[in-house]
Amino acid sequence: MTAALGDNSLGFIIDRVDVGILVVTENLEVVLWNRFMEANSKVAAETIVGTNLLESFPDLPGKWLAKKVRSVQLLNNFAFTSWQQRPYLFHFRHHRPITGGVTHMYQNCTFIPFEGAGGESLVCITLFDVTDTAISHREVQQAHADLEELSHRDPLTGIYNRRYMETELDKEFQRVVRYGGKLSVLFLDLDFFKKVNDTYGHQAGDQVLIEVTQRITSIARATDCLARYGGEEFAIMLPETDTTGGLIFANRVREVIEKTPVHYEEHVIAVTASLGLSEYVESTESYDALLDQSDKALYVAKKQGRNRVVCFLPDM
Amino acid sequence: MKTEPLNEEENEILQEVINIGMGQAGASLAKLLDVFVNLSVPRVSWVNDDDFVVKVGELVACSGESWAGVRQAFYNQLEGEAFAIYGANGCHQLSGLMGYDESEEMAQEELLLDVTNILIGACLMGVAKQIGKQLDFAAPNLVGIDKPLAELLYSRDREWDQCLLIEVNFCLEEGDFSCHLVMLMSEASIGQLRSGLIEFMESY
Repeated sequence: MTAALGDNSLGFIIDRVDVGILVVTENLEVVLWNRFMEANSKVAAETIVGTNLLESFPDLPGKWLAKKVRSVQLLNNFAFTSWQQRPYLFHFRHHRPITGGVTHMYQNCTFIPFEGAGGESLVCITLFDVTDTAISHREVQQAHADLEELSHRDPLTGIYNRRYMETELDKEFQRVVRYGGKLSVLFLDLDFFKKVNDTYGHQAGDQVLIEVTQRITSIARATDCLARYGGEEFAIMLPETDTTGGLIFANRVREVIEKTPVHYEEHVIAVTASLGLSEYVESTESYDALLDQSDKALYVAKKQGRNRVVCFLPDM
Repeated sequence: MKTEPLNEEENEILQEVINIGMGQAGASLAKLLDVFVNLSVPRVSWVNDDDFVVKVGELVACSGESWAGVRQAFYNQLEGEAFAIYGANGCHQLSGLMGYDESEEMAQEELLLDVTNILIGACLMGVAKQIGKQLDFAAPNLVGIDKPLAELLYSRDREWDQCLLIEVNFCLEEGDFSCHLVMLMSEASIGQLRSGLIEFMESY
């Protein structure tokens, strides 16, 4: 500190600095309350100085605050609070009423023990407004979550992609291996899809994929995991489902696709699908094996003439 | 700038200064928490960049692979970083002692930060005071919870080749709370440390 500044200047700076500064005794009696504190709390220094802090702010965590003040005095060491763990000490409004989207000012606080002029032990609390930091942090986290969600999805249909589906299947597989239960996997491939693209164009093909997705989604359970596996190939993980249940579901899917043709511009496009089903049994070695079995069953469904459901058999 | 490492005599004084500092820290903690605090004899060693994580791993070696870590920087005449490393059991039982309400959702994280600040502050201030050096602290922050040690101590670019490592183990007499404190002082502080140690020795 420089000698050129008198007490008045220091007093002025402490009062007007853009940081909350208050000084309390060990009994939480307020000794100093600067303008930042006045402006944000709407409690004037002349009202609060000389009174107990908790009288004006009954919502403060009193027990915690008393311990905190005592510990910094006892250990003669700084203490800190961070907005990430304790969003604020004083419930103040923030200064972003238009752009904020938050309900209060986020604060970082520092507790500084020192000895008063008469030898009494005091604690200075400084309070920094870190609302901007908190908002940016939240935005980054939101962007991160959005990106993660996007990375799980197929952009055209909005359902899960192959990578995410396999991760989920791996988890479910390990769960049934360890705890028992049922698990089936259904593969679906649209019949003669290349012809749709060649005849009506790729946009028509896209429309078919979107509609088929919507129809399957409308009859699937919330716990089923539907993914676009490749071009016109879909995979559906069916937890807690055996072959009997899987067959019922697979046939409903086949019917819902066959029943109504897809309309695209002036075209009416008839669509059918072939499906392959396989169920987890104790000898199934991995989730890969389960996928492979469904794929084999799907191949047989194609060979037998399409628009049908085939269950995997060991001799396939 | 290459700094001469401490010689054998200086290392001995350092060990002594650290022993006294940690003892004082233990005493003030005991007073604050109203429980008896056990401290291990501090271990002081020099580490270089490559074997830093390995060395810390050896020091804290005990059961469990998951740790919680808090780091806190200190600066001024001595500078460096301190880490408090907590075992998987964490420090639930400390919450009552520290005045936290168990129901508070964030209490666990804040507790780790608070305890770390107190431990590191008490230990390093104890050392700095004895050798007449000034010390200030930045706010502590959480490096991770439930992570392997290497991940907690990982840093992309360390600015130092060699540093002083002080390790001390705290535990409370009642209950299973325990914490390893690892303090790393950069090479740049060694000149200050040496001058302080010489003064300390001469004052006797």
